[in-house]
Amino acid sequence: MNFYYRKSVIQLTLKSIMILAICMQTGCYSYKWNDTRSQKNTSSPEIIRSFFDQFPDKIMRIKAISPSDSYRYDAWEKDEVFAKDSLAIHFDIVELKLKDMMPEGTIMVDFTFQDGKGNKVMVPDFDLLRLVPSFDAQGEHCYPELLMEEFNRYGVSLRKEFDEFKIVKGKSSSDKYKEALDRVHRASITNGCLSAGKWEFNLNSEDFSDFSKRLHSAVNYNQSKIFAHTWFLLDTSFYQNLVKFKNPDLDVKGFDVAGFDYNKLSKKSEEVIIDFNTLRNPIKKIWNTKMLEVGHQSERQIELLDMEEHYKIEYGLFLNQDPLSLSRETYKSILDPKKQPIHLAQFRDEGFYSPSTALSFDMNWLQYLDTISVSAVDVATTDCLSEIQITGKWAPFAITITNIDLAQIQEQKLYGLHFGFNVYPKGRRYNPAQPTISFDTDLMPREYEQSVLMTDTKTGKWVDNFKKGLSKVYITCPTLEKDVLDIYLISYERIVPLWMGRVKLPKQLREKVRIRNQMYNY
Amino acid sequence: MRNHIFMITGMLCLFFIKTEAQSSLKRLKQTNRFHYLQTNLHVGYLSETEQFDLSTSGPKNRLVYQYLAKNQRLLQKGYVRSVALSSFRSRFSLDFIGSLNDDSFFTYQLKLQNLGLSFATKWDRTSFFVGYSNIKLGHNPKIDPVTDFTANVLNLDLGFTQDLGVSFKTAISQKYDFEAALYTGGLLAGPLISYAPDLNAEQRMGRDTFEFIDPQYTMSWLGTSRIGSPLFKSFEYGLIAMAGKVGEGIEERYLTRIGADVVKKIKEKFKFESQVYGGISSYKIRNDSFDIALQNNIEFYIKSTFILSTSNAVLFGMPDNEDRTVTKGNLVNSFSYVVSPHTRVRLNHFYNYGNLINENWGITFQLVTGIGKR
Repeated sequence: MNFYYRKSVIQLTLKSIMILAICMQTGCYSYKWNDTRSQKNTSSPEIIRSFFDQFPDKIMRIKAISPSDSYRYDAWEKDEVFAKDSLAIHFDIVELKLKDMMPEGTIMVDFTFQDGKGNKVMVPDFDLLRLVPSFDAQGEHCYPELLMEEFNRYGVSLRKEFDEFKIVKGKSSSDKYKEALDRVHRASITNGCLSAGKWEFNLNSEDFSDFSKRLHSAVNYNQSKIFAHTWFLLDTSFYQNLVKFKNPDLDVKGFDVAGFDYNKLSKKSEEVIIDFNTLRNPIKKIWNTKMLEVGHQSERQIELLDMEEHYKIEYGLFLNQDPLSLSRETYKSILDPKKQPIHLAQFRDEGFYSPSTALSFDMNWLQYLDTISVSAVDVATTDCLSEIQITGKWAPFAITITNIDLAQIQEQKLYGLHFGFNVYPKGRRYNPAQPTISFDTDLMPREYEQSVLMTDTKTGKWVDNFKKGLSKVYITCPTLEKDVLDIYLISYERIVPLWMGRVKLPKQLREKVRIRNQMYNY
Repeated sequence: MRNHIFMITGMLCLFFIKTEAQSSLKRLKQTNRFHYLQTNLHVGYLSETEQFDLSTSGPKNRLVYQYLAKNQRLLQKGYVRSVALSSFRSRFSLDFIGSLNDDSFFTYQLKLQNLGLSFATKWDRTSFFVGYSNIKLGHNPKIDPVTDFTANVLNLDLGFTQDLGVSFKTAISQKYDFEAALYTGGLLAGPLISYAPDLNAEQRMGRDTFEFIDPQYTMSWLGTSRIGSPLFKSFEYGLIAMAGKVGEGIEERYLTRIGADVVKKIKEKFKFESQVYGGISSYKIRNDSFDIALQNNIEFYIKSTFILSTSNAVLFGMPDNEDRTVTKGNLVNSFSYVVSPHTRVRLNHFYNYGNLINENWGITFQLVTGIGKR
């Protein structure tokens, strides 16, 4: 053997650098929901195709509506062009063109959203089923699941940096609006709540003009602003077929999946006894936790938790007699019987907040919640998968959160869950993040599916959380040691936190979480 | 040999920003700067001196300061457009080297443990790191990277386990990751500052009380790479490779290595790691050698607060034109009790063996405790 292989070594080094450069240039592997190369392609289902055949050129056209400048309650900062013009950036024409071939189990369309000035946003190869609820529950559980699926809002976000949508500027659009379109960095298509088939389209822009100033703020203001917001209704029969295509075995006798009456279905659902053993693996053990704090007992001051609550309060969706009183409220005072009911702006019609028709909720019952229990769910992969139950000796209702992987709870962020079965995050990527120990809802293994349900403590029957004024649960760790969980219950329409509890995990569980993060997490 | 070299590329990785749609940023900003101070006391009976003394094997008696800063700009922006700085990490240690029984041997050493910038990219599971860090060859996640007492075969093979360089990690499919790194080949392996206040007259010959690092770059380099299953799998496997020019004087050599690693994890209760690689060391002024390195670690977590571990690293060398196999090995057994998230105590046993070293063993007690945020 010779000593100096200088030439070889130089070649090797150059090759290594080239490999890295190619990786960085061409992009690394990313999960593609509509990756036709790795999936079996089939032609579009006939029943679905027949809907498109009714339209000229087989392109389904839907009239959409957008808010005008006078609508003040779209709760986030707005781009300077938002709703300023009656035609531009009002994407009131929605077109869906069905693809001829598509991966099996998908309904692929090309979406086009067009405004009154010819500006177009095109979303190619979009799987409509990504926005159609998946019914994971069995038997009678399907009734409350149907209700909660359609009265929760969830959607997917399309990213500019991955070319997941394209913008074509209209010839008749002014330079101001053409320039404005360059600021758009996110598009989203959302299955809205209120009724089945009510969908939304959003554009978000970026404004870095005062970003450095925002960096010094204690509040997490970012650069994102609402650019455009549009609502559209899918044909009821078409939507019904999408639901059936995705859930061929769904059986909700007496209810139309795309046109049910809310109160009737809610009443029917409240007859259903929730059997948690069908929603998760058996409970292995109950951890010996210690309650450190209950917000209404310690009279902790209410602090808004995320930016959604921040903007919703700022835009006036909290409607008690003295809306400014929230800054003085504690978790005890807000439950005071004298202050009941609390008033929150109603989310209604096409999807607007209506302060003039506030909804009222008597939240006094939350004062009876004073216990958090944590149990280990028996799965093969980890001891950190847990069930969390919030209840109390005199509590009329209990809230149960199944299949929480405690290794995913962190100090920097809030882990959020809506009420429901295999709950969807409010916003997620169209092309999901690759599964690690974290999963996109559509890629979630059955034994990890998370549910958040309110039940009657005496009967075990499902309770309509919307009617009891709750819509979401937040879980976080107050410290980096991650041996304590803070749990918050958030009001209807995610406007304000109404209850909090703090529980200390036993040493053994704390260490399991730490080991799991070290051994399995990045 | 040329074929061996062509099989090698280099790498490692570090941090990764995970997209969790289920999570929301808190309204009020959380701290993005984390200071942590940790001390490691490691003493015991050593067969080499037949005395109770500071441990000469495993983690040194040291004070460690760590600073981590996350990029607030990126946190606030919420996503990575293409590539962005995600965090800065630095970790320095003040090591206490010497003997409790002879002050003249006592030396304080300021040592760089970790210093660098982590970058996130827009792609899932894709990140890179620039700076000084542990050399990553294969997967062997440790619970406490600074103070864990486990054998390290890289130390036997290269003589150092940390280096300055660039490392990169990316997913090449849903099931596999590719990792590569290019290092300087041991440029900053020595202490930054050495302070020996009580040298005797004999020891002062050619040595100062204060000594500062004087890095001399000798065109050395080291590349590592791995293709295999990612860290979150309970059963990991991969192909690993390493090549480089390392060492000085009689140890100056080109080396090529290729091998495999497997990791089996059972929940949060058990971890088994095995790594084997081999290749040629082509020395400048002595016979070349075919080397094989083997490392095995087993850890049991008993009720998660007791940890029983054993690890063995051994290097076999087969020099050309010599009819013998040279070996050096390090066996470590440890029993730990986790007192708190910041404090643990360990009872360790080590055994250094092989015909290239003086065999010795020791039984040591280790106390690790820290304060701050990490």
